[in-house]
Amino acid sequence: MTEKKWGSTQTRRHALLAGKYLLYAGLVLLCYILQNTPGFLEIFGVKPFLVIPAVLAIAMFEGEFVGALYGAFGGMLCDLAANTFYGFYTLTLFLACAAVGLGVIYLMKNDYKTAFLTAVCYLGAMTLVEYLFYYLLYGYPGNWRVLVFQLLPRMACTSALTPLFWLGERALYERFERLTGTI
Amino acid sequence: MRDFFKSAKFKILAAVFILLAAFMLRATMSGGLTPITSRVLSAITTPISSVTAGISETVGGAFRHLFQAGELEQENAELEERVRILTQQVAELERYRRENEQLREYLEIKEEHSDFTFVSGSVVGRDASERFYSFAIDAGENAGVEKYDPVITSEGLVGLVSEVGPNYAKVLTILDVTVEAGAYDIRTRDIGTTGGDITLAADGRLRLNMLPRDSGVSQGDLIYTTGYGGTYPRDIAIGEVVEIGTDSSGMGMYAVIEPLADIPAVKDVLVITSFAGQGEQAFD
Repeated sequence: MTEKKWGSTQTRRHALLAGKYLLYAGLVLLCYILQNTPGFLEIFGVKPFLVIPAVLAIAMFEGEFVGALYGAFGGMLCDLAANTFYGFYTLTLFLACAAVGLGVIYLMKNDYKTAFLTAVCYLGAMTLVEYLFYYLLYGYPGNWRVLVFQLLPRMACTSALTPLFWLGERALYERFERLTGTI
Repeated sequence: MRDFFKSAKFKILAAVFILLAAFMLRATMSGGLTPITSRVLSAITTPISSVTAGISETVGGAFRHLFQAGELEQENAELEERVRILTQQVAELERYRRENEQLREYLEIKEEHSDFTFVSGSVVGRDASERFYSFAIDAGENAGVEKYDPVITSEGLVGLVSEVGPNYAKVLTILDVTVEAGAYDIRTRDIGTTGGDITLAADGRLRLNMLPRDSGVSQGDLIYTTGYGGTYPRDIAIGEVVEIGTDSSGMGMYAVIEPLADIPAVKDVLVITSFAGQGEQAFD
């Protein structure tokens, strides 16, 4: 009797976990759709990334393994629309999410400030790489304008949104933890 | 931390990383050939993007109308309800009007250029990392679109296809610094090359470079494609000259062009999948 009950608890737990991961995938997909929707959240011609803060927030709560996989998934979606070479976002988000997941386990506090700083670090590095390899190296006249009026505002906008994603992910994570009986 | 590097999870992640890197290398080596992951994901996302792009446009229009209704509300509350109803009707009519316009434009261009074969597409994505108003459309390989196909509206040239998936294509606009087109002034017949300029792109303009020093190009002149190179068909309108200057070397002139197509706000486009003289001097 007890064994049967334990078995059904395990099944419920697995179903909840599967539901959670499917929900994450759906939310990342939704972020991608909204991110690409013409005119959505566009302020003075600058659109924030929505997929990047979403996967970074997932990695902060789910750890390096799940985080890295969602990072790769989010990166693939970003690569789908971006004009950078294929894999630019897939590989970097994969590595960044793995690093963030490990960082939260071993080094950093898991709070909205860390989420903000993580986004600033990742987006700062990406902005620099994109500017260097897609504009500065080609020596296009006035290339600094892209950095100042497009890339940096996009980075600031996305970083500012990241704590909101962190709060959302925390609520979702804790809800599922309660449902699965971990908390 | 050391335990992690010895764990099975680390080995799996390392394997995934190698696999992703291999995909990336293959895509880079094959010159933008869309990998299987892109194909699968685009099959899911493009149809949804088409719907959300439509919703975004309708909601944007509704917000504009509601804002106006808000002003009217202070004067007459009854009108607000009418505006709401009318807004819904306008959104519906707007959709029909756009469809009608698109078909009419298609017909007009077809009559003018009988050698063209078209595929129509709607803008379904403008990414956060968009370059010079680049965008994605909901027509791809399945519709016969190929890389480097020119993209136009009834007003004029918009750009060219830079990447194609089964049901989507990415378009680089003529405002992009990497996109060039042979062009001529229809009045003076002076020939030059259009190219994007970072400073001008912010205002939705581009440059016509390499004009001769004694060029008679003047403000208001219309610029058309020459068709040289085989990437663009001949006589597609590009834009109107708004400014003229001497280039940095002092050996020639340049003109600033205002594109006839409203590139930052373009919603529907036509992709020319074939035309007389296409690819005669392949662009790569």
